[in-house]
Amino acid sequence: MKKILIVDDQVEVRELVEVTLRSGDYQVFQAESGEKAIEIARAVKPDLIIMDIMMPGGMDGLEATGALKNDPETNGITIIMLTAKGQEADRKTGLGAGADDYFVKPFSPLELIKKVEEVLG
Amino acid sequence: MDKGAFRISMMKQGCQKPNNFYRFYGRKQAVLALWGIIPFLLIIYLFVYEKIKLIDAVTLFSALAVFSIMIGLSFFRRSADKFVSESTGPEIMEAEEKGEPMRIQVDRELSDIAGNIDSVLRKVNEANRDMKEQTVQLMIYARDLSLSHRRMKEEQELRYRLSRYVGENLVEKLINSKDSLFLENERKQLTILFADIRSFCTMAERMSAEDVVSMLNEFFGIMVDIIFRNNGILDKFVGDQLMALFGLIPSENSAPHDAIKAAIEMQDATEDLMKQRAKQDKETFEIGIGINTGSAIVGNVGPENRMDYTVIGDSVNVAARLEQIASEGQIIIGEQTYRQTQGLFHMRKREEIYAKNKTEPVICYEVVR
Repeated sequence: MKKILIVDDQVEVRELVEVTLRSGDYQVFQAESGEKAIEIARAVKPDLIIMDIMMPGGMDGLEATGALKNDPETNGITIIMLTAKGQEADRKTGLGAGADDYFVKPFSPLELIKKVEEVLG
Repeated sequence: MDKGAFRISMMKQGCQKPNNFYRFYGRKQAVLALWGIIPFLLIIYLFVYEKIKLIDAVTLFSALAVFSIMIGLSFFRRSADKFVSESTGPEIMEAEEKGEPMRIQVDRELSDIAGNIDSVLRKVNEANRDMKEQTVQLMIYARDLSLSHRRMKEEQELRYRLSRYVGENLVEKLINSKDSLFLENERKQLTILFADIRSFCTMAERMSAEDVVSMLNEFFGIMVDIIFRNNGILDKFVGDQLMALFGLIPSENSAPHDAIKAAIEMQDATEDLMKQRAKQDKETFEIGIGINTGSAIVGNVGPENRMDYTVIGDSVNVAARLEQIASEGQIIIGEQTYRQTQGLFHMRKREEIYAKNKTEPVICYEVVR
């Protein structure tokens, strides 16, 4: 079973993404901060991380992505940004930090499912 | 300061007169200010005209001071009341939404309270924004839900239509692939297969209706499986006759190849079935099969509620004719079918035949099993 880690400071968003991905056969983990995301990523080695950018306090999504992509232990994990920052510059920053794809909130659940299926094969 | 936060402007009297209330209030304030002179005037009067002693003056002054403070307090109270009246009710939210500054005519202490309200409002504002975002998200979910529901309904309809003509495994494949729209009207190069039971009528007369139906069901069940397995579609049953089409479903083999392969399997399966029936002392029969390849029109034909996906053309008539001349256990194919499968099967030439509406004789071959 493929493993997915959802990182977002808002519990509602995490739950929404988890419910959306229930159509597939995935094991889903949640983290509410960048630090927690790195901790769980190292422990469970998910196949995919869905990462929010703006998370108050401590490490944000960009920093966490950079850290995960620079660590040889976790750099194989696909990271999709899921964020309300929809500007082209934000997209570039996100992809520059090492994210594999970029999704803008509010998101289409069908497109998210499609993307996840595409990434996880 | 943020656009979202609201501003406090300490209004000086006479600076701005936004409404009647202020004009009225300003005048009243001036009158109240005049009251403050009264105690001083009184003191001067008492000292000069009444020649009162100092101790009396202190007592009197204290009384007047209390009076002055009371006037001051009532004045202060009024401005606080006004602040409260301005800072309650929906007006404060409306002013905030329009980005208007909140007009307060108060002393400095009250501006702290206003400041607190300011931060509360900022939070309310944030929550409001979050809620709007969530509403948009919810709308997108609802849109996707109805979209996938519609897709599911369409898929179900297509599945139902398809399952009449092709096997269950193929229904899945066709629905998932983009080129699942083979139920359209078009002219195509097709291979048509006819199969029927030899001397069925005389046999059926000897049997009970139940036996005839159950025999046909068993027999057709096996035949249809073979057709589906070989990428054929079942066009229709006519009594003891069956009609199948090859070349509509993508296949790694050519359509004539698939059709002949299916025909051989059908003959073999019928032989096996007859052996079983013979053991059970049941009536046995054999089948003849005719196959022809050529251009034909496929489409949905018939009145709207009785639409049938079928095939029309000369090549169909020839296939039916070939099936008629096939004797028991035989498979007869037309020239086109032969040319496209030469070398793949063991086949031998038969005498030419004449088909309905055809002046030219039809060259045909027999597939040797």
